[in-house]
Amino acid sequence: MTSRPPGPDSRGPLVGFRVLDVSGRTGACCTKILADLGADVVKVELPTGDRLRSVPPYRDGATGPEASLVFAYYHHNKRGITLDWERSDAEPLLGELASSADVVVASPRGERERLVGFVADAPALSWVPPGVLTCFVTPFGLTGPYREWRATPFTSFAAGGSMYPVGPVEGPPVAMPGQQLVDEAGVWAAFLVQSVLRSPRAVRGQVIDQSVHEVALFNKLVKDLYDVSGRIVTRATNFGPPPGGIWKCRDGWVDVGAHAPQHWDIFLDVVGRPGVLLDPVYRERKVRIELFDVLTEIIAELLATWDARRLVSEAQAAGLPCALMHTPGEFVRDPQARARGYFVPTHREGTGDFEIPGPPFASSPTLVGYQRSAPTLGEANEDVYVDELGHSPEELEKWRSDGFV
Amino acid sequence: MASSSAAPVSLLQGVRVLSFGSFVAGNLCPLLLAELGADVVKIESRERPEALRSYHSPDHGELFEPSGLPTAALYAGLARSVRSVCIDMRAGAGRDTFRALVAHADVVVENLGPGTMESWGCSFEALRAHNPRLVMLSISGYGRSGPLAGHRAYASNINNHLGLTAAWAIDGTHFDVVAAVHGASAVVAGLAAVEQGAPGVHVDLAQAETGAALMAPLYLDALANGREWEAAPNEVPGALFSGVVRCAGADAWAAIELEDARDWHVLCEYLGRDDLDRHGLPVAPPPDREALRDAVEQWAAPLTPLQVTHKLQKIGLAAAPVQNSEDLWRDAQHRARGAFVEIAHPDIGPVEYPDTPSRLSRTPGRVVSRGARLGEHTAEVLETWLGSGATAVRELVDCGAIWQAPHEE
Repeated sequence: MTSRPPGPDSRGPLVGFRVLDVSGRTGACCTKILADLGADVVKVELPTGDRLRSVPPYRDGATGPEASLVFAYYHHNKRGITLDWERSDAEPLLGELASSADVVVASPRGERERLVGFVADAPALSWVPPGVLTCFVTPFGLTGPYREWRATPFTSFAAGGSMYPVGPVEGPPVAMPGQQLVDEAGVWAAFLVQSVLRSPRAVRGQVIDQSVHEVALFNKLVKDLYDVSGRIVTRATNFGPPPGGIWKCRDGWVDVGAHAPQHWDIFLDVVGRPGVLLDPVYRERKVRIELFDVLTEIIAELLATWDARRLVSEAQAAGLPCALMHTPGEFVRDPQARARGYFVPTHREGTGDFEIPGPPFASSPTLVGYQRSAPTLGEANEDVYVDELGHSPEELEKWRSDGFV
Repeated sequence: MASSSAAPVSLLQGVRVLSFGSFVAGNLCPLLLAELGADVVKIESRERPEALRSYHSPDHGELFEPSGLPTAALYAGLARSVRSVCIDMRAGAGRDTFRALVAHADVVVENLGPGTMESWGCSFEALRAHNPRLVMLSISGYGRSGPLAGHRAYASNINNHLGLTAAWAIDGTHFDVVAAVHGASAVVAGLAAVEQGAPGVHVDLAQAETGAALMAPLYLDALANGREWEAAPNEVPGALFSGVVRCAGADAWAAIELEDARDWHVLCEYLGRDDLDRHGLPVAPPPDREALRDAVEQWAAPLTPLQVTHKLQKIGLAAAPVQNSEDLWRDAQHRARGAFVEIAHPDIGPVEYPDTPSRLSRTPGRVVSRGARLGEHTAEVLETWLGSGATAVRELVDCGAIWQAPHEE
């Protein structure tokens, strides 16, 4: 499909582009961003259903392939068809689907399922025609000794370097919950795909090799400069230094961020310049790192009697970055996100009516739109195979009975 | 703007970006654009250089530029691939110079805090008068509207606000890089919209909202069922088994996840623990996770994390070593793929940083230049973007509106 100028009803800059999504969980976030920006994303699931369909939480009382809230979130705004893309005879049909698309997003390594037509040496997909962008999003990238490794968001996070310093000193290290690192690589891939799509057609036919492991490395070592210091940040490493850190107040916890030189003095003003903290040497960040334990003890005692909301409000008014500690459930009820209309409604079979997190950014004019809820299994099979690709309803019926779609 | 039919060397070649971005998110977003080919100019002032330039680091001693200004390896890494221009925005002639640059730019990035751009007469609306196709990215902690619009935030504040700290740990930071990547994606979306006729685009990017989009799995139970997120440390919802096991060596660990019954069967068979297997039984008993954990820990105890990983990967299971920063630095995968780049810097020395993960076969991302000294490119940018001659530059320097670092190594 060629890109066409946006019509009067267009909602996002990618309207007119089609994306074929044969990735599993690793590419789900990438194609969601493209879909939210207006692309027609056709998600191709195995006939048994995408793995995310069996990932909890589910809607209370619901069972079966449509019950997963996680699937409903990641596939909002996408259409869905089924095809057994592990079978070698799927290649011609994949080729037809790819010819109708501008971009193919795939994760041919890292998950258990094996996509047909993957040429490891290139790397490329045999059935993608010239001129169509191929975007691979995989746990380790498609070259190098770990390229075949299977991974989940949990094991990817372990390998990525950000898990080791978190958790009790005696261990074990603790992983960040969710699949945020994988999704961060997905956002990165969506940035690259968009950059290709706005460039001349001549560069469209190329291959992106997005590695979750490399995004993790960038995340970690761009800040933690092992090459300079030879220092290993461990679970015993002190963070902060004070007044940075998390403090227990009378009725809750407050996180103070104090990285700029002026923050120490602002903090002193907020807490009423107690004599015990007035030694001018404390202005030096270096000194506060050395005196971490002493200062932590003094400040913890000072802040224990504060009302958490009052501390945040007075510190912010004075210019000190700080925030209340919320649980995830408290965040979704928080007035800030509510005032900005952040959550958007979804309605579909299986999961019913509920809200999902909305656009990652607001803008004027609006670039992100929400048009359709996540597809039921094989929902667009007839639209795509019969109406768009011109196969007969009988053919589709035969594929169905063969378990092919 | 790249619009010719010839293939560009870089995807964002021809895109000009002016950035007031500071700290991690504010520097990395322009860096991502620069390493895909955009011409990015970072604006600071002689009086208030970016705070990270003087951020005390335990990693190295005090370092200075020839002008006497402090510098740091962290800063040079975060602000690599961009040029440095010094403009005093408090001076009328400084603001005029900035607005003239805006007329020749495609993108402005800022995370200055609420009201700062407006106080300079440089709101999006004001700047659009100088450039009707402008894409402006304003990064803040919580967004430009709502009760927290005026609140300042660092990454750890965002983690706490979003519930990640409560659900995970008090010492994780994460969302600054996430905001940078989402910001780069938003800028490219804005450029496309402008090319399609949008009357300029102002992006209001809240770090909290970029983070919440990635944290969705932790919110869905609360949003749909009114139930709070609950999972024990290292427990993956839906997995049959997940855990971190102690291996041979000091503080050595491996992470293992069994996604479903098939994985469970494969591991039981491998460990010779048919008694724990559920495969082929008419009614599968509940998985005895504690017994399997004991069996895995016993098996893993004499093995290194990499041995555990290799052995489990050979039988098709998901496992990985828990790597620290040194492991990452010598990680065989990263070394084989050339994931590091050494950048020489006259004030800091050579440092190996992570290279850009933007791997495209025809238009790869690349590091363009070392971290710039303050005001190193002021005259150069004014000459190339505005056509300012030496005399005009000299006049602006003399009245204090701009500053050019002395040319010396």
